[in-house]
Amino acid sequence: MSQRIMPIPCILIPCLLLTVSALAAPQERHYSPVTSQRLINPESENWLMYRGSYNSWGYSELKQINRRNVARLKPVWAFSTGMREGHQAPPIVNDGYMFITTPHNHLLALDAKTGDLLWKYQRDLPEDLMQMHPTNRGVALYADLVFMATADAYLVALRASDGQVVWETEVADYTSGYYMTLAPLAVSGNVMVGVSGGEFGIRGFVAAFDAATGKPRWKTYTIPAPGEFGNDSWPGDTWKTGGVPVWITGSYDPALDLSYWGTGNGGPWMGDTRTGDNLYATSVIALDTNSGQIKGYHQYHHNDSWDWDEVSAPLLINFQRGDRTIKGLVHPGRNGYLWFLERTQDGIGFVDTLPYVKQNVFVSIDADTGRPEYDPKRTPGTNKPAEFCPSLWGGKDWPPAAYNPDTRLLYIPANDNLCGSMEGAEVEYSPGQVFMVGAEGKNQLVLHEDAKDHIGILQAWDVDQARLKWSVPFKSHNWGPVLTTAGDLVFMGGTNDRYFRAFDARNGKILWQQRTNSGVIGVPTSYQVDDRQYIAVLSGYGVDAEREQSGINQLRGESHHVPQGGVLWVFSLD
Amino acid sequence: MHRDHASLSVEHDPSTTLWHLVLIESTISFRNKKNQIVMATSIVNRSRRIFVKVLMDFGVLASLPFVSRPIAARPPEKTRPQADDLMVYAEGDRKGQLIQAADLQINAKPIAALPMEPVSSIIRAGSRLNKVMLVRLDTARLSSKTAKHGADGVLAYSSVCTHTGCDVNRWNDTTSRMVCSCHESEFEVADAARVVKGPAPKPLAMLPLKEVEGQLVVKSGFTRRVGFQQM
Ligand code: FES
Repeated sequence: MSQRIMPIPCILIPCLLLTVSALAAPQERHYSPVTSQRLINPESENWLMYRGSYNSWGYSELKQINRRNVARLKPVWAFSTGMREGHQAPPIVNDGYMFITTPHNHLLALDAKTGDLLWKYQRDLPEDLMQMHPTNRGVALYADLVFMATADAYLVALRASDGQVVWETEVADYTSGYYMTLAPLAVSGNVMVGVSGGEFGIRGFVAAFDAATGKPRWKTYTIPAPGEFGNDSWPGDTWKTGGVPVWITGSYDPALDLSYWGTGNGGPWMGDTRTGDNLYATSVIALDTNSGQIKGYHQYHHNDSWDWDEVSAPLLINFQRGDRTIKGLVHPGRNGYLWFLERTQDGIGFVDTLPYVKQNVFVSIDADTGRPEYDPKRTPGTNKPAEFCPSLWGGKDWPPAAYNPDTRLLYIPANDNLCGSMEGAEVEYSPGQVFMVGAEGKNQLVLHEDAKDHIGILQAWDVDQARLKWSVPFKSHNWGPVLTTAGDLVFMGGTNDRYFRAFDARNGKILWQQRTNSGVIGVPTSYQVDDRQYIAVLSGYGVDAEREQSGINQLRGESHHVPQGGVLWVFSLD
Repeated sequence: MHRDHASLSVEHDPSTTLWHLVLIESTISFRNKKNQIVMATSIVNRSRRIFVKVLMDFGVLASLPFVSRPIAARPPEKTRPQADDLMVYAEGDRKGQLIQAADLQINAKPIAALPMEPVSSIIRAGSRLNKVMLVRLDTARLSSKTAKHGADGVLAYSSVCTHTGCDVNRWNDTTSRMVCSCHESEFEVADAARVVKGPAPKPLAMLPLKEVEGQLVVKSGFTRRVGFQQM
């Protein structure tokens, strides 16, 4: 642990400068400490974590705004972050305090009702940092603290009421390619984070820190060391630089006391550079939150060659199969398959799976284990080109799907009809340097002819029948995280026309839309202050959505431009 | 700014940081990371006309709070390239060896290089922001502002992409462009690394060169700020 913060008395001029740019001091206001109990049973008026609840549903019980009145939804205030690039964080709300983060690790506390800025923290990032993905996906709350994972791989704890830094801990060394973008997960006094850097030859891990002090509690690598189970699925020393990052917040089942984390692909990208299954890449792992021990896993696909990170945490949904209710894990994979798994104290079982977008790589799936068989013609390698569907950004990338217990539908922000082609070249590991397809490697998008009709698509799946109930196509690709509410609504942006939309959760009908400043790739949330329900979302295009836009522009011969710049939008009924 | 910043926080590494307290006029100044001197009026001890100059490095001034990695009095290996530095191979079999102008062939793949302090022979390998890519183009192809910073067609560009800081590691010999494989920004080498494609907002910094008896020598510091802007 590194303690970089040393309070130095406010002497001399810095203080003067501080005053010049100081915000109005936050007024005295109450902040209710976030307890384990509250995190297990969050109040509907608050949004206390990344997906609102440990089961990762992205569901709000609020229904003042509902399908009958949503047409009257109006912006009530907005806030400009002053930052470019990808604004993906959910506005997280406790007791009228709202916390948002931006690329380059600004953390802002706002009055959730009025939009007043209460305080702001700006991380001083090192000047030699590389940022493959300039974004941040929000904070975690515990006790009276707010936690942010940073691009220079620190975990920072700030006092929620005034932004005072209470501690910060180095999680990993950024110069070897580690960085963090995910919202931390707070469980029973531990704050857990995973690391990004799969593109730079890191060895991924999930680690837990004491919420009060920042002291490390445990660290579990996503690639086993020699002597540990699974290490033999990596040849030679490849386990040391095999990637397998964890860059999306896990789910948590308090009854089993297990947290579920999705893992990224192995590195470098071509599977033939690391022959074997490469555990626990492209998997879901069940971690004991007290010890960090891996209690179970399911590998969605082995020996990845398509950059299909499976980092989205599965949604904890109990679904029916015949007469049986299965305590499930549901995951719309980047690999284009929708996975239904079973969670138990001892592990993770396979139930069934089916493709939800065009997928031409898997030729069969083992009915007992769920292990796919690959078409070699669709599997790129070193000096071996191959075309495959879906593209490297998958059927769904990181934007989270949502589940509504009233409709029993799972809402997937998907992309279809977009394929890819890759060819790996020789690639040598050098610490902190890109370790993907090699400098001479190729990585391109390919449009399927049906892309004329649509690429983006919002799908609603009946989880009990594993059947598509409805879908709404978009010509644009789709990077819209999904929120669903007890008001029979689904909210999603994600398209390149800058709209943020409300859909009827029962049939997909578009009931309302608002054109915003930029593309909406932020995670939407809902909360209530003083009897009034709000919907909040960050609009600020960038990162992979923008990269994909420029790729599609080239293929379509278009020059569609989505402006950048982050703005938080907050809506309510007029 | 908020009141948290009332407590100034600095990482203080005695080996790299110099805190100068000098009694001078009624101003206080300090240097930010761009080496700009930032001045402010002192409120200290006016009556005795004793004022304090605080010379320290505050990181990017705009990115308050003052949690900073000081770079004042950097050691030579971390210092940005200086006039008269020599160039050495940054990687490969000849890593650390001097690069001669004749080592560069027209339109061949760029060579990754680091500046070397000529007296102490200390290679400035302490920061990735010091790395440059050397490439030679036919002088007839060069724009005038490019030619003037080159040594008979040999050009040195910062290897750090202005988008989000990856190494610009790819070469397209058909177009003579440097390409960043992180997000596919392309830079026109013959025209001062103008951005021709991709998300990079600015050209790569150039390191002016001259040739002295076959040796590549740095003429002056980078033409623009190296790295990317965090905004
Ligand atoms: S870092 Fe070079 S294009 Fe993004």
